[in-house]
Formats: sequence, C-alpha cells, structure tokens
Amino acid sequence: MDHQGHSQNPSMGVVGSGAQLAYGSNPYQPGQITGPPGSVVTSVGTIQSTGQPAGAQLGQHQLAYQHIHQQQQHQLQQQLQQFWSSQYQEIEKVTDFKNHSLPLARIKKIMKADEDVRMISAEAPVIFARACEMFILELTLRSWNHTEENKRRTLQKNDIAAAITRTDIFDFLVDIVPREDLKDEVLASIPRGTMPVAGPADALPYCYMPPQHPSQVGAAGVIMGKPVMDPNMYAQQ
Amino acid sequence: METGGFHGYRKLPNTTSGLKLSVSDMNMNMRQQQVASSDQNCSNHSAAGEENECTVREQDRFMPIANVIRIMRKILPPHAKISDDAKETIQECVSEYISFITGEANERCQREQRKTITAEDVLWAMSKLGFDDYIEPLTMYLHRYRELEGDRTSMRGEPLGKRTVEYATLATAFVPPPFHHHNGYFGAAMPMGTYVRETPPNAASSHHHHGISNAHEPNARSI
Repeated sequence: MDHQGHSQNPSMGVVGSGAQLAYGSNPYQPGQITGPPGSVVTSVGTIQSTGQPAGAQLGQHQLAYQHIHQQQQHQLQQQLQQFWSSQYQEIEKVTDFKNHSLPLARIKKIMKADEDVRMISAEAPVIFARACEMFILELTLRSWNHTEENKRRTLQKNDIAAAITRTDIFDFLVDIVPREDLKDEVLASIPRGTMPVAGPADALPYCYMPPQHPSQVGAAGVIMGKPVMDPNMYAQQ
Repeated sequence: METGGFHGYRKLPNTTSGLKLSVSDMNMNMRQQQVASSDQNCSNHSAAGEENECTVREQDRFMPIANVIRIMRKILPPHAKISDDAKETIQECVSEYISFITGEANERCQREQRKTITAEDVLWAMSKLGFDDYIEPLTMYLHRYRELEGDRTSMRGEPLGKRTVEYATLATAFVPPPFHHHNGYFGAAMPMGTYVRETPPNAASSHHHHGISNAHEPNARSI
C-alpha cells in the first residue's frame, strides 16, 4: 500500500539523520549519504578508516555490505507492508471481543499508574489490547530482521535494541535497553571479515554514548517520553 | 480473576475540583466521589519515574509474559527461539507503550476539560505520536466492536455501523437520569468503578457497554 510504504520512509530517514548526528565528525559523511543504508555504511567507513588506510579494499567491502544490507531492509519493508495488510484483513473478520490477547484489567492498571489519569472509558482498554498486539508484532518483526542479519536463530535483547534504534516511532523506548545493547547495534553493522581482531577495539571510541543522554535524545528531537514530531512529516490522514 | 485482587481504593484528592459541570458531569462527579480511586501512590507522573516509585505489585506492571510470547510467536518462523531477556524486554516495552500513549491521550482530555479517556483519545494520541499505521486497523476494530458488542447493551437497540448514527443514539441514551441510576446499579456490582467495565477473557455473562461518557464531547469525530 502506498500509505504504508510512505509512512515508513520518513521514519527510516530520521533514523539515518540520527546516525549522522552521532558521528558528526565523520570525514566520510558527505560521500556516503545515500539514505538509511548509506548512513549505516557511513559508520562502518569511519571505523575502517581508523583501522586501515587501504581505501580500495574498504570501498569494495562497503559496496558489498551496502548491497546486502539494502536487500535486508527491502525484505523488511515488504514484510511490514504484508503485516499491516494482514492486520487489516484479520480485523475485518474479528467477531469475538471477549477473548482479548491481553487482559483488559492489566491494561487498565497500567493506564492508571499515572495518577493524572482519572476515568477510562470501557472501549479504551479494548483498543489498547489490539494496539499492543500490533505493537508486539511489529517490534518482534523488526527485531527478528536484526537476528537474521547476524545469522542467528535466537532473538536477543540486542536485536530489540537494534530495532528500537532504527525505528523513529520507537524512540520513547530508548531508555528501556541499556547502552551496551545499543553499542551492539553499531558493532553488528561491522562486516565480520574485515577485522576479526581489531574490530571491537577500534569500535569502542565510536560506540561511546555521551554521558548526557538527555542532550543526545534532545538532539534527535525527543524530549523524555514525548517525541517532538515534525508535523509535516507525520501529517497523514 | 484479576478483578478480585483490587483492594484498598481511596478517593482522588481533586475529585470535586471541576468548576464547569454540566448536569451529566455533575452526576458523574457524584459517582466519582463514591467510586473514583487511585490504584497506586505515585508522586512522579513521568513514564520513566513510575516504574521506580509506584507501589503497584511487580507483576501488575507488565503484561503476562505467556500472552506476550504467544503474540511474538505469531510472526516469528517456527524455528525461532526467544531469549529470556528478550521476553522481559518486550514486556517492558509494552508497558512503556501503554503509558506513553495514555499520557498523550490524557493531556488532550485535560486540555478539553474532560475526565474520561475515550477510545478516540487513544487513537488520536497514537496518530500524534507517529503510529500512523495503527490507526486504520484500529479504527475498523473499534467500529466492529461497537457493531457487535453494541447488541448486548440495553442502551442501544440496533447494530450501529456509522459513527454519526451511534453518537446520536448515545446522546439520547445519556440524557435521561434513569440511565445514570442504571450505571449506579452496575457500580454496586463492580466495586472498582461504575464507568470502566472489565471484561474477563472467559466471561460468559452478557455485559453493558458504555462507549462515550459525555455525549457533548467535542472530539466526537472520525479519524
């Protein structure tokens, strides 16, 4: 669907922008800005330029990795479009509203954990039950994409961290995954074959997250718990 | 049943602070004085702070892990495995998601001086926070819920397929005082609140459905 395809692109673009901000001093940045996959390759280029001056081989590795990564991302986009389409079709056939996939009482309790929340209509937890199911499915799908990238069959916490990092609407979850797992996201994007030993050591300086996490979050356009969205970017109806 | 675990309700400190109350709001306020309660004693309203300061039981802060795993497996290939820390992380993410959306929906309610978070508020908040893909399927879900569950309420006689029609019906339904007494009756049966109705997963009994608390809410519109 056009709508779904369109809605995903801004998110990926923003993620790329965030990556660029994180590596503002990257000399490779101008030449590598070609979109979300390019942003990831940019970080790889930075690390490699520090470790090895051989430009020709690095270029080949970058191109090869970029191609594989683009294939992976294209596959993910297709899976997401299929996912949203199937969600709509599934809901068209829903007839049972008594057996929710998640308990309404628990949803209501979590909602009321905020003391500002006063009364909740009976429909709100019902909508949340379905919304949370879709949220879990989307986050799991995006996380599994990262698992497959790393040739594993066990979905791990760092896969979830990678999905959160790569998806703009999941910015509010950044605090849930520790920084080590966020670092794994950068490490995971380094081609395995180029530097089997020096890679981790070289990567450390670039994986370092500034202590002032709020300021970095602010740079990405997010105030704690409340993303500052560009109205034009998300003005869809 | 989880509802059996609710104990020790106390009234909200600012339950009578409303200055501009319509007749229906006054009735709601009276009920609120009797049944409104706060489940937790949380001084910090931020999403990040609540997990540290709420006295709510640990198990109640997250969705049941079995439900979460079952949902995850629906989209994973059969051979996929899920590590324990990934399961717990998804649990935390879901609670954060609910709090995140609820906070935005509640802010809108307060701006418009309403007390009840509606399904429309939830959908509006999702749209505002970038979850655009969720709106279309959830809007349909809400419509179907009203079509099918609406049959079981005494306040609406026919399935309602269109929003404008159902709001007109709701407006009629919420005007007569006797319906508030009706709510009061169910309030007696459900100590945790007259307005918010819980539907246990395997409930066999029929139940009443209150979709909109105030027929005059300005946000009654399609997304």
